[in-house]
Amino acid sequence: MMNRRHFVVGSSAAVAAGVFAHQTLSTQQHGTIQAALFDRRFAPTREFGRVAQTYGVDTHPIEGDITTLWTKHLRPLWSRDGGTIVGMTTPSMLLCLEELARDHWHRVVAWVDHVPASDGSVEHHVHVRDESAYRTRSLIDTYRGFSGAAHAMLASAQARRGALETASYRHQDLGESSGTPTLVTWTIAA
Amino acid sequence: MRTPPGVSPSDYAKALTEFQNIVGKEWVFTSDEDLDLYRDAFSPLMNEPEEKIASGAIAPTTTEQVQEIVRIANRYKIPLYTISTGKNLGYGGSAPVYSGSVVLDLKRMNQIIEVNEANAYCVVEPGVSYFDLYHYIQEKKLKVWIDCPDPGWGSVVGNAMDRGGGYTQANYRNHFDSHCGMEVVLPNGEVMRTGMGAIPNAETWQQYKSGVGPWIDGIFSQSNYGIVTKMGFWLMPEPEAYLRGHISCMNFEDLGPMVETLNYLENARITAGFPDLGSPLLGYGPIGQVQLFFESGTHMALPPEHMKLLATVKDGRSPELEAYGKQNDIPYWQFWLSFHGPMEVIEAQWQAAVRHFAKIKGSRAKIVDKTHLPINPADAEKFHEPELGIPSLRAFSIGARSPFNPTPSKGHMWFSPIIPRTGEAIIKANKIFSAAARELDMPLFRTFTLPACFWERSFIFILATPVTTDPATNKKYREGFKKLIAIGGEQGWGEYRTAPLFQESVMNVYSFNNHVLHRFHETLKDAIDPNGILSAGRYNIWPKNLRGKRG
Ligand SMILES: Cc1cc2nc3c(=O)[nH]c(=O)nc-3n(C[C@H](O)[C@H](O)[C@H](O)COP(=O)(O)OP(=O)(O)OC[C@H]3O[C@@H](n4cnc5c(N)ncnc54)[C@H](O)[C@@H]3O)c2cc1C
Repeated sequence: MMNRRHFVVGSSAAVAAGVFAHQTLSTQQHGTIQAALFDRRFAPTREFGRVAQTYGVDTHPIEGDITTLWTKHLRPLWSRDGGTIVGMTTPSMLLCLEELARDHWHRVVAWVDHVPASDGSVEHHVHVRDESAYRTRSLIDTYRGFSGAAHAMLASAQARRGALETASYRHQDLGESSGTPTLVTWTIAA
Repeated sequence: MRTPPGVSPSDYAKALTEFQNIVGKEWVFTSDEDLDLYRDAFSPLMNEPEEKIASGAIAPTTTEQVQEIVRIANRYKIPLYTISTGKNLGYGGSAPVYSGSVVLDLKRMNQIIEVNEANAYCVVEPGVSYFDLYHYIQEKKLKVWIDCPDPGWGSVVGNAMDRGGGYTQANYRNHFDSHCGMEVVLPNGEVMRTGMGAIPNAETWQQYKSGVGPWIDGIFSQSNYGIVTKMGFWLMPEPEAYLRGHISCMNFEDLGPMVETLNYLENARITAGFPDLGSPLLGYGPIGQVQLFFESGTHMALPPEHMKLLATVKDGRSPELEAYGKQNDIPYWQFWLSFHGPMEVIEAQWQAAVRHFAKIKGSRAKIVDKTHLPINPADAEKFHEPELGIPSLRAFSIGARSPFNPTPSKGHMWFSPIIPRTGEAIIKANKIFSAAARELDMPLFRTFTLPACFWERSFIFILATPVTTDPATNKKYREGFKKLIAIGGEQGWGEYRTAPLFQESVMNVYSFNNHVLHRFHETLKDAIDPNGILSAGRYNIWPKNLRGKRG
């Protein structure tokens, strides 16, 4: 089993080296995100998968059930060395992943709740560490809606310092995302 | 840094250093961030001051380390709370009953010590999950099945210690009953083996349960008398074939005779698979079909006229709905039966079952699945996997918000009373609990609820009471939950298992002769664990020093 302390130290070193500035993103620099999960049933989650690919992260589609992904990929990953994963799923899927992550002393470190409102818009409630709050805000301003959350999560996945900051924004122009259930974009790390 | 109640910071600091010397520094946890991992994700007290939290956590890898930890805890009077994998969601998660205890986390004790194919048993440590055991068996191509609960992530030992259940044959479904022999670290740090394991070098530890003298295994389940570090379980030899079908009846009045027939067939072992009760007319799916219904969306397919008639149902009965069912060929009741064994045997068992049900006028039988085993793994998802001994996480694919489930909850507390195995009791329980739930504004027993048949001889309701993000609603549900427990108790019904918050209320129902059972539990506690260091308060068993004092 991995030594969890070494892993935590490893991630903080990466943060200190400043590899997360948005301007310098590259496949190699995102080697620290081990996998991106998306629920293939919904348009916004599929879009998350597409955005994750542009960041050079290994993407894994799921369809409600994560048993196979857990058995084949996540469990070996977390048992070996641990690792950060990001995703956009339903809240119940996140709950399930969160419980599985506990077995390896991993946890949800940042997340965005996407709650559909009755007028057809979606409220996005962002919970990130304050060290990444500024970057998150600018990514959300640039990309808006679900994509903003996707970029924010992918760009700040290693941010662990500072208190959890909460902010909300609402996005009106939904296009194909209308009718989707409550979703959540998240980062799980040691 | 948090400190356990009643322990001075300096004693705690000394104890932590000694714990670290035993397990290594990195496996003793004291930071808030790490201890948050031991919060109960389904806590009905989430984020409230009374939420049960840990002051520390220790993750040993061997029985010897557990013994040392217990000795240190005795020296400094540190309250410990044992978990195996800590996935007890709906019944308390991994949070301690006595808030501020130090969690003794056994998930790193994850050795599969033996799987014996010839005599179909295994011996495992507490950190072995159903997935672990299943994959081990698959990799070694052993011809035995496990019996697992719906989520496969839990511990074979932990689930049995809370007397959980699964879905294959009757004699394996009750996980505590299917165990054979355990190794326990006692509160004084001594290690003991039960049953034949008490004979040095016995080869029959997993072959004969009770050994000689008082058979004490039971006292370690749902209690706080010891820490189980190894446990044997009987496994089912891989069956050759599987058959599942249902029996349908059209009249409300058929429920009683159907239950009686089921009882006979089960008690005579003509059917041994998980019996699953449904009512297509009342829109109530059997447990094994729920996730398939959700995934396919068929749960939303009732026509408007049918939906309208559901409003006329009272205590399960509606002559108008019954007439609609007959016109449209929708059964009132549908009992699913399953069989495991050689094809010629299970076909004969099914035929015998059909013959017995044929005594109920108008009953109809249909085979839904009939297959040789093992099934092709790609086909497993067509089934409710645990009924084929396959662990899964699919139970969590049903929690998304949908038109059918507009407000998915933040978790739930299981309300699980045992009631008698009769049709009459099903109706009576619905009548009593639905009136109470309406009055208490609890989202349970709304139209009509059918119980489950996890255990032989009795029925059990397993109903999810939601936990929400609103503290006022959670408070209302917590109080309502306690009232439902008491209302059931007045009828002679009691829960089989419950979350820490309700353990006192549930134990109060088991009150024969001025609560002598509970008094006996605490007398034992005083004798076995005088310092009260193990899992204080579990199932309302408090050590002397905390009796009447805890919050
Ligand atoms: C959607 C859903 C479906 C579920 N379906 C089922 C189901 O089908 N069947 C079922 O039984 N449950 C079910 N559960 C409840 C629960 O998730 C499982 O029972 C789970 O296996 C229990 O957690 P665990 O195995 O990690 O045990 P743990 O949490 O490790 O242990 C449970 C308790 O037993 C005691 N204990 C554990 N290990 C030891 C030990 N070594 N020595 C002494 N005492 C010990 C502790 O007090 C502990 O709190 C379900 C829950 C959810 C959310």
